[in-house]
Amino acid sequence: MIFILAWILVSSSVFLSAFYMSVYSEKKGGDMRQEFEAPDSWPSVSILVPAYNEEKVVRESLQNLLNIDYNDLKVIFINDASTDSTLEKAKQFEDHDGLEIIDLKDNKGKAGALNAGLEKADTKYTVVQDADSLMGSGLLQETVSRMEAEENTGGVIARIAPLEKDTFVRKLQVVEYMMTNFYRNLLSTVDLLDVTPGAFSIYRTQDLKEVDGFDVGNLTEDLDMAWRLRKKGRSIRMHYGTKSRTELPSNFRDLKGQRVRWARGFLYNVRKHSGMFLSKKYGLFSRFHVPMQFLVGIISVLGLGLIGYGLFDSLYNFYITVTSVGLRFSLPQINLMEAVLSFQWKVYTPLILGFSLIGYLIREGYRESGRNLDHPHTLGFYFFAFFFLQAYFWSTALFKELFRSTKAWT
Amino acid sequence: MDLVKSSIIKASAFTALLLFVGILVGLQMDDARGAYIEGQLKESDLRMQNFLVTQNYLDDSSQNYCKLVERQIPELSQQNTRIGQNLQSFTGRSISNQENYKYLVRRYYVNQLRLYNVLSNYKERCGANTTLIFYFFDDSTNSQRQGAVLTEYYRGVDNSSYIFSFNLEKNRSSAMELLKQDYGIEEGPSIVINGNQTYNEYVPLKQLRSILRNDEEPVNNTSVNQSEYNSNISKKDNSTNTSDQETIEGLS
Repeated sequence: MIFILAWILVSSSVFLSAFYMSVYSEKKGGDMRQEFEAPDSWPSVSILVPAYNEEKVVRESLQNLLNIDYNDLKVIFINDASTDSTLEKAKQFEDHDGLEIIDLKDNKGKAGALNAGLEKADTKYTVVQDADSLMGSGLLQETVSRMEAEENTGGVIARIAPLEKDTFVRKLQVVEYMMTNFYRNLLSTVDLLDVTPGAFSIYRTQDLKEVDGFDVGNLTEDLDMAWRLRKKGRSIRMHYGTKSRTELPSNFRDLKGQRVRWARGFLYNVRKHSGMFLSKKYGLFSRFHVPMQFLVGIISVLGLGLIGYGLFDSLYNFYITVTSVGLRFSLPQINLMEAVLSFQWKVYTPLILGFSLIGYLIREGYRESGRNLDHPHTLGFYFFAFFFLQAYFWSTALFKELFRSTKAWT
Repeated sequence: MDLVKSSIIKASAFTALLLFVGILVGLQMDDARGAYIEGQLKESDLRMQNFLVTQNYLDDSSQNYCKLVERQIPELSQQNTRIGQNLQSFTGRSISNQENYKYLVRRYYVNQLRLYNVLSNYKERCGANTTLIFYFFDDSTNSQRQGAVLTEYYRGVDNSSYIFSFNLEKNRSSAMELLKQDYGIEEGPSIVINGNQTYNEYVPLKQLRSILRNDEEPVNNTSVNQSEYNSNISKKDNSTNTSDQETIEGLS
């Protein structure tokens, strides 16, 4: 049983890596960084910036947006009943022509705040950007150009990079986001991308209004929006050449809070859109990509269970020994040949080969992003241990969903 | 979408290929495990035969015999222990050819019993203060405890004690069945000390040490115990010889 479970784990990991590898081998080169011509005239754009207690970042964020060199641009700042000085700081910019501030008296949550902003958006395109994110140079123009060039595209996202890299957890996410961007771009090239992150996403305003805006109470309203747009027949694309920088969780507790929320949001949306699951109508997106994401989450939980079982077994054996003869220390006799023969080769051979493939993909991820190997220890942690973290977050999310724990944003 | 479909097919084929390679390597390693234990058993056989031939060659002098045993048997015993550990450890890793595995186990038990006979004779002829323990275990927690206790005990007694372990759950052989029958063993953990004291329960370390301390004393106390013990050994000698023969015939 354990052997079969280990095989399923290894197979799924190898399969996914091989899938990305196959797509990458076809697409590397031009398709990874598509360029689009600027339109003859720039269409109107609204940028929705929902904010709840963002006093530390609001000034820099608004400054960044109001400095964008774009003719027909409206920034709609939505203060979601913050209890700190977010509103006061935002009001320092209210003389600026392109800024409109909406002050909600009751906290409506991110989706509610976005919907309030959407009501005021009368432009062709609407950008959603978190208050703790900053647009990179040329990001708006490049993504608008793409939306203009591709009629069927319902959303364009950008590469996400961290604003700060001061803690180990943030450095770890630098590597993680680099790889996430790389994989998202591959999914974008084969039209399987299914997420429009809050750090930066641009939509057609009409689409957003046609689907009645964002789903209030949904923990991952961005994922839900992307899925609804896909159901509407729209594609989601990534513009790999441009970057949005955002604040990432700085410690493990915050990271756990964010990732558990994402996983719970994913599970919630799987339930909400269950009719889409495996449906032929939405093609391989619903018949392959979404089920694979779901399976990866579940398999990671099983993997953690497997490792937990092994650990428990070892601790139990240790307990038995200690309670039988007391604590004893002795160096084991190591025989290299016997150690090699004791290895579970049927599982470890594909695992090692699969790891080599992941290693190759990481190398290509670095190459495509133009990054240097500047944090080797975090890369090592990402390569060998990040899976356990993800599995832990997934397990927590699954547990909370099963026991209907209260949904929270932290 | 064509690229997605072709990538799914390629990824599936690649995954299947890697798993296949894993199986192939795994099967090769299974064979290597079998061959490794086979090699250890051959080496053990050779040493035992060498011992027996040397023993026959020597005159009846007890002094020569005792020296020979003291020189050669500890090493042979350690080698047997190692084989037993490997058989146990490799069981979890699987040896794909189960028949071959059973054969190796049977040979190992034959070696164990042969060694037991030699040590019993040695104990008798040389008046050695040697303790011989049969240990029967299964997958129970108490068997795990008993294993830890015996390992700890063995660690502290150098070459004055020998432990012969038998897995009741996995490694069945005619030799082991005979021992089970003789000592009334039904489940693990059970230990038989010097062929005359059977404990069908978990024996803690303190109790085991106490039993073995007391067991050393009667050597000078009563001849009844000793003669009972000798007859027991003699009985085991005959029975294990039969078992050896049967097992060896079974192998050929």
